[in-house]
Amino acid sequence: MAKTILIVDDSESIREVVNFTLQNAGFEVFSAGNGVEAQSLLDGRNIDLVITDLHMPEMDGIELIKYIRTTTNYSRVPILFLTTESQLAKKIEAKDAGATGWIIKPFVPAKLLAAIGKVIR
Amino acid sequence: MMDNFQTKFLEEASDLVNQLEQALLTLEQDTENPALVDSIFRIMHSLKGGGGMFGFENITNFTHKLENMYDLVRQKKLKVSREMLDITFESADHITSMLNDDGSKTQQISANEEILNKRIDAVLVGDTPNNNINIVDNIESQPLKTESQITTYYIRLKPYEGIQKNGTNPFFLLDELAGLGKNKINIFDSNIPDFENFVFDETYVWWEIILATDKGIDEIKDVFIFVEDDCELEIKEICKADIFPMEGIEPLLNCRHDFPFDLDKIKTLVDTILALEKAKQESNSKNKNAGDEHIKKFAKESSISGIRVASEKIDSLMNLVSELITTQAGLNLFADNHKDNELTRITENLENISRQLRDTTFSITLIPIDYLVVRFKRLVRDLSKEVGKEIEFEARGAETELDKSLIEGISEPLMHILRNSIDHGIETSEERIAKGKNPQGKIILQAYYSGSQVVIAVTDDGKGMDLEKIKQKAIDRGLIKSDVQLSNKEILDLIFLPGFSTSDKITNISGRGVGMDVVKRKVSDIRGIVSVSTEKDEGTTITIKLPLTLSIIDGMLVRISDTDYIIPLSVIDTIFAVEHEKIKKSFNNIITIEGVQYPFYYLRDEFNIEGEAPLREEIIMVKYEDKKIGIVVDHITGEYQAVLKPLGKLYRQQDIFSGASILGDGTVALVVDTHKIINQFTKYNDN
Repeated sequence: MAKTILIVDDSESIREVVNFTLQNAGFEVFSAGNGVEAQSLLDGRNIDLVITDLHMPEMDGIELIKYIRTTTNYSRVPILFLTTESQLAKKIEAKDAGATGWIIKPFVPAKLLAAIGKVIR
Repeated sequence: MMDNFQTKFLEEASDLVNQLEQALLTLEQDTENPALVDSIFRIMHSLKGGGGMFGFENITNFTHKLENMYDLVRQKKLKVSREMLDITFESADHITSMLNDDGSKTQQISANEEILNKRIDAVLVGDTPNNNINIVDNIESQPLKTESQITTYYIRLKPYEGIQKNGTNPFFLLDELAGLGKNKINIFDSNIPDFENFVFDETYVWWEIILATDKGIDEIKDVFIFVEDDCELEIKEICKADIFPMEGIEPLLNCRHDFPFDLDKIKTLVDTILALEKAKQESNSKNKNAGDEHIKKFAKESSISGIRVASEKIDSLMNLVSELITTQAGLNLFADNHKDNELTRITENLENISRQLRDTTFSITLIPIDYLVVRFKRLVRDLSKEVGKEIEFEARGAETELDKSLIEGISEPLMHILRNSIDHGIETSEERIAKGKNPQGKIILQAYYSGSQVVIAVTDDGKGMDLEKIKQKAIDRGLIKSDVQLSNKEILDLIFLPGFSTSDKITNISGRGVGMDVVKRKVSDIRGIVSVSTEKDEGTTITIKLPLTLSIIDGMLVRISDTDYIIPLSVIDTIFAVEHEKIKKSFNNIITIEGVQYPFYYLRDEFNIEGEAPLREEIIMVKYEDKKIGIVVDHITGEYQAVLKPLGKLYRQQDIFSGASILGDGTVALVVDTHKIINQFTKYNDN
C-alpha cells in the first residue's frame, strides 16, 4: 500500500511542488496550509510521514511538532521540517520539539526524496 | 603393491609434466585459448589426484594451488599473464624435482616451493595495474572498479536509547548504509533488558559495520545526518582498498553475536596483503626480468595460517566442553527454578558462549569426506581403465564431516573396497550388455549421519556375490565344515574371515592377500562395523558404520508418559499439535495434516507404554530418506544440547536408541535414532 504523507506549508506553490513530486514517486499526499488544518487532517487518518514548514500562521511548525508528539496515534511518526541554511537556531528548536529530520530549502525533487527515504520505507 | 603403482605414477607424472610444458608453450602464443587452459587444468588435476594416492603429498599440495589458479582462468575470473606463465614453467621444473627427489634435495625443494607459492598467491590476490591480470566480475559481466577507488570503512553506530522517540527507525539507516557497497553488519544486543524493564520503543542494540564503497566519507556521514545528536557514531577508514575479496579475510569478518570485529587483526592482515601487492608492483615496474630479486623479497614474508596441536590436547578440550555442556544444563535448570532475572540473563549469556565454544571445538577436528573422494575418483578412473571396464563413480553426501583420525583410518579400507568392486564386482561392458545392463558400471559412495553414527556405504551395480561359491571356498580352505547349515548372512560374514579370497586368480588390483578380513580389522580399529549385502546380478553394498566422536548434539527434548527422550534436531522438519482423537481414529497409521497425508508411528504403542495419553499430542515430522514421517509423542519440552553417552552392555542388542544423555536434574533421557525406528517398525509391520 502506498505510504501517506502530509505536507504542511502556508505557501501554495511549495505545497504543489511537493505534492507533484511525491505523487509521482508513488506516495499518497495530503496537504494543509497551517497547523490547525493539519491537526484535522491527521485525525482519523493513518499518516506515515509529516513534512512541515516552520513559519506558518495560526499554528506554527514547532507547535505542530509538539502537538503531534503528544498525540497517541502519532507520537512516533517521522516528521521532517522545511528550513533554510541560515535558520540554525530554529533547527535545534525543532529537533528538540521532536522532529526526525529536515529538508533544506530550496530543494530539488531528488533531495526531497532522499530525505524521505531516510525516515520511511 | 604400492611400489608398483608408484613407479607407474612416476612415469605418468613425468609424461604429464612434458605435456604441461608443451601446452604452456602453445598457450604463450595463444593466451585466450580455453582448450589449452582446460588441458593445463586437467594436467594439474591428474598430478594432484595421483600425488595424493601414491604418497606424493607435496605434489598434491603444490599442484592444488596451481589448479586453483587455472580454475579461475577457466571461470574467466583471471586472465593469463606473463607472470602466470613464468610461474607455471618454473612449477613444471619444480614438480620434476619433487618427483626425482631422493631425499638429498628436500630442503632446497621446499625453499623453492615457498617462493613459488608466494608468487601464486600474489597472482590470486593481485589486481595490479602493472601486471596483466584482470579480475573480471562474472556476475555483472563488467570489470570491477579497480580497488584503489574503493575504500573500506569501519562504522560503529550506537543509538541512544530514545532515538525512536523522534520517529527515527535505525534500521532504515542501516539499509541506506548497506546500499552504499559491500558490507558486513555485526549486531550487539546484550543490553536488551528483561521483559519487565523492556520499553517497546527504546533502542537497546548497537551495530558495527564494515563497508567497502566507492563513495566518500561525506556520503557515509550524510546517512546519519538526522541522528548525529542521537547516537554515538564512529567512522574510520580501514584502508583504501576493497578488503572483501582478500584472501584470509573471511574468518575475520564472520559476525559472531556480541563479539566485536577484531579491527587490529583485520588491519594487520590488510596491511600485509597490501604491502605484498605493492612490493610486487614495484618490482614488476622496476625490472620484470630481475625475477630472482623479487623472489627473495617474497620468500622473506611468511605468515602462520594454522598450527599443529597434539591430538590429546584436542581430546581433553573436547572432554572439558562435554563437561561444560552438562554443567550448563544443570545451571539452566537451577536458573529456571529460581525466577531471578539477573540469573536468567547470565545463564543465557553463558549458554550462548558454551554453544559457540562447543561448535568451534568440534569444527577443529572435523574434515569432510570430500577430502577422500578426490583420491577415490582418481583411483576408480585409473583402475577401471587398467582392467578395461567402464565405471562411473559418484559420491553422495561428501560434505559429511568426520573426525580427522577417522578419515585417516577409513581411507585404506575404503580404497580396498573400491578396488574389490572394480576388480570383482563390476562386469566388463560385454558381460553387462549380455545381461541387459547399462554397459557402464556404477559405484556409489554414500555418506550420511544416522543418529550418533556416520554411515559410509559403497554400492556397485555389478554381478553381486555368489553365496554358493563363497561357501564352497570356505569349505575348501577349511574355514568351515562341509556339513554346516548357514544362513545367507552367515555365509556373507565368511568373507571377513582371515585368509579368505574368492578370486580364482590373484590380480594386480585387489587379490594380494589383503582380504576383507583386513578391512574388517582396520574398521574395528576405529570402533566401526562393516557389513555387506548383495544381490545376484544387481550388485553389492558394503556398509561401514562409524561412531561419531561428535558426542554433543542439538536435540529436541520430548516426553512420553514420564520418560524423556531426545530427538536430534537435525532430522526434525516440522512439529504439529494433534488431538488424540484424530490419532485414534486414523487408519493404517496415516494421518492427514493440512491436506497432506503422512505416515506416522505412535511411540506410545510402539514402545508399549501403558497409561492414559494426553488429549493433545505432538507429531514430529522427521526426515527419512526423501519422505517425511511423523513420530507422535506426548509433549515437547524444548531444544536441548545433549551430551551423548553410550548405553551399557545390556542395551547393545537394540539400535533404536543411539545413546543417552544426562539432563540437568540428573535424570536420563534416551536419544532416539529416528532412522532406525522407522526402519525397524516398517520391517516389523510388514511382517
